[in-house]
Amino acid sequence: MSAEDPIERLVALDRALAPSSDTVERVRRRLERRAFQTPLRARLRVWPMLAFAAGAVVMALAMRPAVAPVAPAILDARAPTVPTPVPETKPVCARLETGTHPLQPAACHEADGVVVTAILPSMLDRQGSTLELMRGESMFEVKPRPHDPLRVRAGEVEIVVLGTKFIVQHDLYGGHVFLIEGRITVRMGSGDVQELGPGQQLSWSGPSEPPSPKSKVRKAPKASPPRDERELASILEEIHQLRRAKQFGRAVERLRAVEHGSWSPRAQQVLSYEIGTLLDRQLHDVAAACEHWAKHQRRFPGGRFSGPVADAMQRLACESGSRGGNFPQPRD
Amino acid sequence: MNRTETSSQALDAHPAMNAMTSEEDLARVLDGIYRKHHRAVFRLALRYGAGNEAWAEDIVQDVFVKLIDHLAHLEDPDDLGGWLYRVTTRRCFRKLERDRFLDLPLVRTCLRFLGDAATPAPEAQWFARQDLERTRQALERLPPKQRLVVCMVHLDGRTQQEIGEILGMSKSYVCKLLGRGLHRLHEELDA
Repeated sequence: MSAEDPIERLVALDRALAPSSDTVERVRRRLERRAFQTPLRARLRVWPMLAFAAGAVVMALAMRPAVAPVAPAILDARAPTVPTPVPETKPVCARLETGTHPLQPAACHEADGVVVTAILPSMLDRQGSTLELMRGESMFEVKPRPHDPLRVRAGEVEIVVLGTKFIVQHDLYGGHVFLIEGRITVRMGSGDVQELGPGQQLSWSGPSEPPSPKSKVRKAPKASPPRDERELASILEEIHQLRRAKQFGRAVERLRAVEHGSWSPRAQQVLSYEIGTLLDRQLHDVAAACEHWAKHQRRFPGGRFSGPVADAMQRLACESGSRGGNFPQPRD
Repeated sequence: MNRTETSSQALDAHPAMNAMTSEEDLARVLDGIYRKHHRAVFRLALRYGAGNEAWAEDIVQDVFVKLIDHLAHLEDPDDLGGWLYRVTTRRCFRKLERDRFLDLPLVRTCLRFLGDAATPAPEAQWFARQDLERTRQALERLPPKQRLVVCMVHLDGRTQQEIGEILGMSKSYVCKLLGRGLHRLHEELDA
C-alpha cells in the first residue's frame, strides 16, 4: 500500500485526531453538573404519566352523566339543588319479602338474585329459597347459584333452578313452564323428572276440573295435543338441537321459514320470541334484534312476552322510535 | 496499520457501572466511564466532524448526556463500548445531515450565515502543518452518508451489514455508498 493510498491517508488523519485537554475537561465538568441534576430529571420523567392520569380522570368525570346540577349551586346558594333526573336503565324492583304477595303485570320483585316479573296477575309465596306460584303467569330470572338451588313450585310441580330465565304459568286447570335460557329440572307431581333446555316447554294439567262443561272439551286436547302443538314442540326441539350445535344462524333461518305458517296466536308468539332470543342472546346482532323485537311488539301488543321483550329492547338500547306504539301499522 | 483494533473494541464496559446503587453514585460512575471512553468517542466525533473540535465537543456531550438517561436501562451493560459507538455514529450522522441542510445556499441566505467559511479554523491550520489538510478537506467534501460508510468500513472494520443496522440502511445501499465514497475520495486525493 503506497503512501498516496487514500485509505492510508485517512488512517493517518484518524490517528492524528485527538481532542485538547481543555475540551475534555470542559465536557467532563458539564457532565458532572448534569449528573447531579439527574434526580430532578428522573422526577420530570414522571410528569407525562401524571398528566396522562389527570387527563384520564378529567375525561371520566366529563363523560359521566350529570347527577346533580353544579352551576345553580354556584350561582345562587339559596336555590334548592334539584337533582337532575337520571334516565333509568333498568326498572327498580320491589323487595320480595317472605310470605304471600299479589303481583301485578309488569311489576317486578327481587330477592337474593331472583327477579320475578309478573306477566299476568299472579300470586306468589316465598319461603326462603322456595317460591310458589299459586296462580298467574310470571317470568323468573335467576342469577347463577350453584350451591343454593332455587325451587319454584307450581301446584304439584317443582322446578329446580341453578341460574336461568324461564316463565311459569299456573292456575287451577294446569300450567306450563317455558324455558328461555339455561337449563332447569322439572319434577312432576307423579314423580317424573324432566330436564328442559332453552326454548322447550312443559305443560301439566291441574288437580281441579274446570267448573264449566267445557272442561271435558278442554281436557281432551291435553291428552292428545293438537297438531299445532305437536308441530310447535317438534320445531322447538329442532331449534334446541341447532342451539346445542351452536348453529344459531340456521336456527333463525328455520324459524323464519316456518314462522308465517298457519299457527295459533300463542305458537306465533313463541316462534317470534325464539327468533328474537337467538338474534339477541346468541348472535348478538343488536340491529337485527332491535328490528325483530319492534316487529314482535307490533304483531303482539300486550302479548305474553311483552315484558321480556320490553326489557330486551331497553337492555339493547334500541331506538325509542322502534318501541311499540310509535310504529306504523304492521305490514304483515 | 492494525485495522482490527476498532474504536468500538476500545470502548470496553466500565465495571463501576454495576456498582451504581443510587442516584448519588451516578456522578462517580459517569466520571469513571467518561475517563475511560472519552478518547474513543472524541475520535469518532472528530473524524466525522473533519477535525472540528467544537463540533466534536457538542457530539461527545450529547452522547454522554444520553448515557445518563440510559445507564440504568441498558439492555447489555457489558457492551457499553458498542452502545457508545452506535450512539456516537448516529449522532454524527444526524448532525452532518443537519449541517448539510443548513449549508444550502438558500438556508444560509435566510440565516445570514454567508461568509462564515472565509476564515480557516485553527484545526485546519494544524492539519496543514501535519500535511493532512488535503485529506481532511477531501473527507469534509464527502457527503455525510458516504463519509460515515467509508470510515466505518476502512477505519473501524465494520461489515456492510452492521453499518446498515446502525444507520438504518439496507446492505445494498451501504455497498452503493461505499463505492461512490471511495471513488470520490480517490478523485479528490489523486487530482
